[in-house]
Amino acid sequence: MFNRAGTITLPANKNAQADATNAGAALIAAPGAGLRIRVLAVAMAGTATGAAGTTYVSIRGTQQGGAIDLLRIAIVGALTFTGSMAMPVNILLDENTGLTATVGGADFATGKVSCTVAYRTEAGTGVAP
Amino acid sequence: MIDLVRGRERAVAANYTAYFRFINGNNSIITAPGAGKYIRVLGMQYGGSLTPAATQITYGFLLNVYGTTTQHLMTTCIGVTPRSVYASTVCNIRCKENTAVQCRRNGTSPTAGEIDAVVHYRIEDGYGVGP
Repeated sequence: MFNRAGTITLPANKNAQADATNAGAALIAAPGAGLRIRVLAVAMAGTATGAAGTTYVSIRGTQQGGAIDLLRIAIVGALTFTGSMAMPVNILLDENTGLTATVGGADFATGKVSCTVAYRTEAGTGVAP
Repeated sequence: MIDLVRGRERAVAANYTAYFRFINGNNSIITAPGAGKYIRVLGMQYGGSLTPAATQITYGFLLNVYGTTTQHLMTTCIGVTPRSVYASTVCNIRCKENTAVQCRRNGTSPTAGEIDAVVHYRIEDGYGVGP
């Protein structure tokens, strides 16, 4: 990539994957001070049956100090969710915050949902603009 | 974020996400941004599971792009047996100035179930309807 001053180097793109059961799972650890994660794509696939109430699975990050859901599904009671979704995005997270495969609400009765993200780590401080 | 246009740098609005859990009716997932601003929808997804009633149900997203009528950008029709629904798409749609993006359920209320919806978007300055 070029700008008026010459060539600049873009950070490499990477992938992260985690399986969400009832406990959720870390997808990307906080990168450290002075660094921010830019999420490039999110995907979710699997089969899960909820317990009583509504369970949700979310790929969750932090932007401007608050939690954001980049991809999210609801699993209601004994209704089994079976499916897959993927979507390219361009979301910059707050400095030194990571990404999780979050499970909230009631628990799974059975099942597992795989979450995958493509991302890169960029220099930057503070909350995302 | 910086974009390069004809040798000049310009600021590009940041991308955000909005989330809403819905099952019935029309609900704003992104509220109208105010005069002089519009929503640019970059992508959307929903996923959930439900038990429809005796007739078919349609779920989707409503946008107002051109005039007084609304457009459905992504919908799904659901029959009469319990099932999971999921869909995602990428787009680049400029809404009409100061109009919202809505989740919509059209048809008979389901007997059970919920759908989680996420929209990726940004807010830009502009007036009137989409080009």
